[in-house]
Amino acid sequence: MDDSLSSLAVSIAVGAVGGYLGSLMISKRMALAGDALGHVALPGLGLGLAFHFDPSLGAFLFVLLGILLVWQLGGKTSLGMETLIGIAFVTSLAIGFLIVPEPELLESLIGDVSKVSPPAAVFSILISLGVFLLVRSIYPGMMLLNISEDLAHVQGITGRKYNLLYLLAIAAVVSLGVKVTGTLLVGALMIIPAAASRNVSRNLRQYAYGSLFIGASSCAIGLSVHRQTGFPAGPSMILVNAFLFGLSLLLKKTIARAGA
Amino acid sequence: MGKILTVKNLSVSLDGEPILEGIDFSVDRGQTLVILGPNGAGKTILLKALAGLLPHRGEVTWSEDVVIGYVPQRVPLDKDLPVTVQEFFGLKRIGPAEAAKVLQQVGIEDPSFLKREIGKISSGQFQRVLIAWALAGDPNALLFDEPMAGIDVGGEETVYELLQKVQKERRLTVLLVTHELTAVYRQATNILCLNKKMICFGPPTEILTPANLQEVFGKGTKYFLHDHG
Repeated sequence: MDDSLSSLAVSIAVGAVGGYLGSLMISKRMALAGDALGHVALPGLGLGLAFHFDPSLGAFLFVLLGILLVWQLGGKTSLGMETLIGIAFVTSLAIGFLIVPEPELLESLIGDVSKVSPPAAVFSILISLGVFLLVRSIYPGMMLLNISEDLAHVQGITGRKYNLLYLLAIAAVVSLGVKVTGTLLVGALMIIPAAASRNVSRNLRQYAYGSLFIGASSCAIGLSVHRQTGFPAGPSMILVNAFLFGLSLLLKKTIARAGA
Repeated sequence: MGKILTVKNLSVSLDGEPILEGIDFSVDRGQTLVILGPNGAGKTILLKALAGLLPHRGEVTWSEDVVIGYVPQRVPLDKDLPVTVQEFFGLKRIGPAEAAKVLQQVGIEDPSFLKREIGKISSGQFQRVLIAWALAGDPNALLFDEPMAGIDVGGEETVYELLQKVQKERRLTVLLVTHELTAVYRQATNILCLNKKMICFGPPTEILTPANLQEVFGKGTKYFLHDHG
C-alpha cells in the first residue's frame, strides 16, 4: 500500500464513520457541539506536531478533556451546554494558536491527509471500524433517548452510560478527522453528510447509512479533486459535501412536488 | 391474586419543593387503579415515580416478575426525524409481526402503516402507536398517563374498550392517570384521589362521594353518574 492509497483509504474510512456518527448528532441537535469540539482538538494537535508524537493522540486527549470539563461544569452552573462548549471552544483555539508552531498551523487548521503512512493508515482504519461498531451498538438506544427519555428509561436505557459512549465516539472521530480536514473543518465531516441524507431519506436505515455513504464518497471525491487541481484536500472534501447537500435539497423539493 | 405493587410513605420533591407527600396504597394483579385529580395535582409525577423515572423517598415495591409498559402523556416529537413506525418498534426489539399485531389491537389495521414516518402521522395516530408500543413485549403492568389526551374525537370510547379487552385477555394490571370523572367509573377497581397528598383510596362506589370530590377538585364540582349499562 503506497501513501496515495493510504490517504484514500483513511479519507473513506473517516468520512464514513464521521457521516454515520453525524446522523446521530444532528438528530440530537448537537451539530454545533461536534463542530466546536473539533476546535478543542487544536492544542493537542499542536503539541503532537511540536513534540513529534501522533497529533491524533493529542487531539483525542484534548477533546476528551474538553468534553469532561464541559460535562463537569454543566452540572454546576445553570448555563446551557452550548454556552459552555462555546467557551471551551474559543479558549482552546486561543491556547492552540499560542502553542502550535507556525509552520504547522495551517496543517492543523485545514488538515493534510496526503502525508499518511501505511501503518498510520491501518491504525486509523481499525479505529474507524471500532468506532463504527460502537456507534452501531448504541444507535437504537440513543435514538430512543432522542425520541423520549422516559420511554428509554422504562426500557432500562439510561442516558448517562449512553452519553458517555457517545461522547467517546465523538472524541475518537474528531481526533481521526483532524488529520483529514483539520480542526476548523472536522465538524463538517459529521454535520453535512447527515443533513444531506436527512433530506432524502424516508426511514432510519436509509438516513444512517445514507449519511455514511455521503460522508465516504465526498471524502474520496474531495481527495481526487485535490490530486487533480492541487487545491487543499480538506477544504475540497467539505466543498464536495456542501455540493451534495445542495443536490439533496433539490432532490427533496422534487420528491415533495412529486408527492403533492 | 397477590400484590403486584406496594407503595409506602412515598414522597417526591422536585428542586427542593415537595410535590407529593405520604402516599400509601397497593395494587393487586389484574386490577385497574385510576389516579384521579385536577391539573397540577402531581398525578404524572406519581406515575413517573412508580415507573422509576423520578427519584423519591419511601418505598415503591413491584413484584419481581413485573414488566412495565408505559404510555407518557405526550412525546414532543421532532417531526423531521426519519423513523418509521416499524423502526420505532425496532428500538424496543419488537419485530414487524408483533408490531402489526399490537397496532391492530389499538385499531390500526393498515399493514402499510408500519412504513410511515412517526413524524408524519397525526397526533391521534401517534398516541395509538405509543399505546401499542407499551403493549408490545408482553407487559403485565401498564402505566397510562392521560391516555386519551391525543386521541381524535370519537376514538376515546375505543381506547377504553381496548383497555378492558386487553386487560382481560392478558390479566394486565393497569394504572391510569386521568382528570376525567366519567372515564373513572367504568374502569376502576380502586381510585386514588390525589391533590399533592392522597385524599382518598378505595373502590369508586365507596369513595366518589361529593365531599371527597370537593376536596380533590374544589368547590362547585358536580358529579353525575352516567349509567351506560
